[in-house]
Amino acid sequence: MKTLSLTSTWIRASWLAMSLGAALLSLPALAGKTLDAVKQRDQIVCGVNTGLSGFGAADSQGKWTGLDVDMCRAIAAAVLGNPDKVRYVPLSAPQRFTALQSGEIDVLSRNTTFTLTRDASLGLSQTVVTYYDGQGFMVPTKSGLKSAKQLKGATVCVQSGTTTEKNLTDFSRANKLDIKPVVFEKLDASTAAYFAGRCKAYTTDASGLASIRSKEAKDPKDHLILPELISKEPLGPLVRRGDDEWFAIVKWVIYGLIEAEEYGITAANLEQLKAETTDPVIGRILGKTDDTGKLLGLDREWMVRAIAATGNYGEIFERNVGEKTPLALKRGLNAQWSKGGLQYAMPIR
Amino acid sequence: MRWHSRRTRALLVQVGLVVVLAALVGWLLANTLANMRARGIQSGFDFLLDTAGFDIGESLIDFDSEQAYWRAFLVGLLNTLRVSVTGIVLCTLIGTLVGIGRVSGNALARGLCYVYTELLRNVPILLQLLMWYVLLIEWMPEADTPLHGLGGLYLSKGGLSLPWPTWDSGAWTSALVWDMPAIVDGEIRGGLNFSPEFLAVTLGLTLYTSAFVAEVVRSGLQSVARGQIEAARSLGLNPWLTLRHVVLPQAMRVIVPPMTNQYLNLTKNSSLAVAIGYPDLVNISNTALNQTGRAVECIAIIMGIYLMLSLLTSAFMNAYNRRVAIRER
Amino acid sequence: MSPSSTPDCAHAAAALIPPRAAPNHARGLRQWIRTELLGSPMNVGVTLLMTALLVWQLPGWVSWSMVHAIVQPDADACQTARGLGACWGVVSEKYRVILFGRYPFAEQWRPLVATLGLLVLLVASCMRQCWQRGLVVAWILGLCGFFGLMGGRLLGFSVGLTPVSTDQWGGFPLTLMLSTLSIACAFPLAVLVALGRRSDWPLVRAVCITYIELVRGVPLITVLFMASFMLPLFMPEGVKIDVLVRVVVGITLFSGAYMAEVIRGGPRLCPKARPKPRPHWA
Repeated sequence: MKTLSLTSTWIRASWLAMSLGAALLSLPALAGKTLDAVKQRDQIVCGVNTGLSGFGAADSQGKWTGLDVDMCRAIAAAVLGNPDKVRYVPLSAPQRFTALQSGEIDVLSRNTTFTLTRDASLGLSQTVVTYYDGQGFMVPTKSGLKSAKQLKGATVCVQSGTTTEKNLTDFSRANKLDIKPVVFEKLDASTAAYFAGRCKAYTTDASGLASIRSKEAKDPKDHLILPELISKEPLGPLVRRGDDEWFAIVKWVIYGLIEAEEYGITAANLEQLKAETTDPVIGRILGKTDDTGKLLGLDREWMVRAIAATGNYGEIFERNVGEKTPLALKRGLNAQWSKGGLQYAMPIR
Repeated sequence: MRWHSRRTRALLVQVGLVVVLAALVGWLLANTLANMRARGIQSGFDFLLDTAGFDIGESLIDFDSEQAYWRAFLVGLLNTLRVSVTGIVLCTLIGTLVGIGRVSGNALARGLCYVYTELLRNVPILLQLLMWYVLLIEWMPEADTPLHGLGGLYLSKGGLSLPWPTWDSGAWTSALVWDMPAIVDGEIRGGLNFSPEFLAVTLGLTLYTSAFVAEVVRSGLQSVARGQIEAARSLGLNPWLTLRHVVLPQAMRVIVPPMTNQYLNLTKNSSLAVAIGYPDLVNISNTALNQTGRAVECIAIIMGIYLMLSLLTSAFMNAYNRRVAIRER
Repeated sequence: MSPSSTPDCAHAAAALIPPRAAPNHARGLRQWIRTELLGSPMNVGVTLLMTALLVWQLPGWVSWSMVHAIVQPDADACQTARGLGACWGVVSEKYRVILFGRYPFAEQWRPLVATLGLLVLLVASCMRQCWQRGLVVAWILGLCGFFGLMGGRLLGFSVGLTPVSTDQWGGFPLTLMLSTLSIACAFPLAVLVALGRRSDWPLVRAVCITYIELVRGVPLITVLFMASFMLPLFMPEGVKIDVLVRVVVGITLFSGAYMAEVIRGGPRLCPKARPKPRPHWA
């Protein structure tokens, strides 16, 4: 019939158009080039937490502070010369990897755990651990619970899309606790439900528990963080895979901050040390004796700017999550290797 | 073929439209695949057979962390259906009552129904869901001191528990016994349990959609010509019989198409349950997306399932519509 | 009765039906209450039920939201009033963040002026007296003014104000702008699609039906998720579409499908027209 043959012609035409389109217009995505884009934009786009005080949170005026935020500021200072040349994109846990994969952000600095799956199958690369943490539980003090193993059959509030869910399941299975998770998309919803009494316990990284308790509890003494750490949670920034240049820059800025603390370089004595030091290691870090920045595609003063902007790793820690802050976290595993902790910077040379 | 004839013009326009659309779709697909390959993002639906590794708080079928991702998606789908079906039934009932109230002879009823519909229609659904959830978990008593009533009904922060008949197969006999909820270890076990998340989602969606249904019903009732009602009254039918035999059958023809829209809206709005922790399809997909990193595949699965649900509902309602439609000759 | 005899008036008068009372044209509150609220037994019952409902709930709500409410931004007063009165202090402290989002604090007069301008335009467009040619010019100027004030630049040219990038826009001005633009763009699209759905050409009809069913069948958050985070994956490397443009396009496509169905529902109520007989030469 005439109608049928016309229809088939149209279908054939569409298929032809589609394949032609695919052949002509598909452009190979060019890996790399994040540094060029950053320099051209004159701004780093940094994915951060929506509001975890101590790590990444904004105040009513819109000013961002936190440990993860300071890492972004240090990178901006090293690359662009100004720590304020950062645009912060607050991301919830389900959105964060897609945002980095798709190119929305340049670096994801959002208390993200390093795991095999994330390194191998998401098209992302893990840089340096900025905080060694573990997952814990928080319960109301009046519940009388003293150990995580007493949580038999309990409802536990948790945020979706994090390693937390999986660790909770593994812990529950291993100890035959039959825990019932209540899973929320947003952090505020999950903490609000816990503080309203919906769940018996709340679980996330221990540093996160301290931050939430300090910010949201009516009286921090009403809530107890249980002693067990049920998993290893090494937290740090991630970048896209395939851009080795940018990966190296982010990695070495952070190593530089850690090594600065090891050798006693602070934001205060920076200028004085730069002028007077005879120690060759300090001289290399500050660009006095060697130009290590050139190898990364930056200039000589890259570490000087970074340390001037945020201080060394120890200063960043104390200012955001240290003992004088409401979170009151001890250095613990995050102390320098020479002081019994795990922070071991690769040498800048 | 005559180049200036109507048929040729039609042909050219349609072929041109299809070519442009096909080229656009092909270009997008090619870009996506190239980008994903360059960034080393793995793709494919094979992850559905992997072990899920996470538990789900409430589900209609058995599920534990050792089972596959596809089963987790199935649990999510069943949870979504649970909320949608309950919501559709309840919102139709409540909405019809409120709609009738809006055209009733009593000014107080008319006024209150007007306030009800305007209030609930104009506040965004997400805010209403959050409000119901906060009410349910802040103002309810703790699970160890629940509200107890009617012999076996428990209401607390842990949700609503009702006695439920179950088969008890003993050694010699099997009988239907009541599974009564009881307080065990500070939580309520047993019986039929509705979590506060389910209650908040169902309540919020039902009331929100019932306001729209009320408006649809009202427009249907008002579309029936006054003459019909007057004729019915002059035949001696009382208001109730008029409503049942004259007004409602004619109103149904105007009511049914927009009702389909409202049922579809309710089903899709249930995806907002992820904000209050109800493990529906989108919530489960979020977890799967984060654990496997397969964003495109997970979103495609959700879109496909919702599309299928919508098409099924539309088809069912269209069939019903054809039954009540005016047949023109 | 014989035609010649006169009617028996006394007998007729005794057999007359007494005249009915004149129809009640009384107006006023008492009459209204009598007809509207107490017209029939069922009406009385409904009135009593509703009044009981109001008496049970209303005093509590008024007391919570107005009588015992805290208006000053005082955290301690709010804590003591928990459960008793509303804490409006949160609003009085954070109202600038709620209204304007993360817009730079010092420049917040700009979104305020821009929003007021847009509101004036919207209200004017609702009034029949303003439906003149000048309204179109006013809209063009108003929109240029809005974007110029908010962003500090218009079509690439700076207007002398500090530039503020679109991802810092937020709050009420953003909601107003997105709604206005999306509704304005979606309506013509909806008309086209609705007409296309009724067209005689099968492919155009198929494309329109596919578009409508696809968009109606999918929840909005998945569309927004795809538009904001996955669109860069669909584009070749380096192509960046402004996030606001993406959101407007997403909402427009979404609303267009729904509006198309509403427009399509209209002509359905009209009876199907008889096709005109075709002349033999066409």
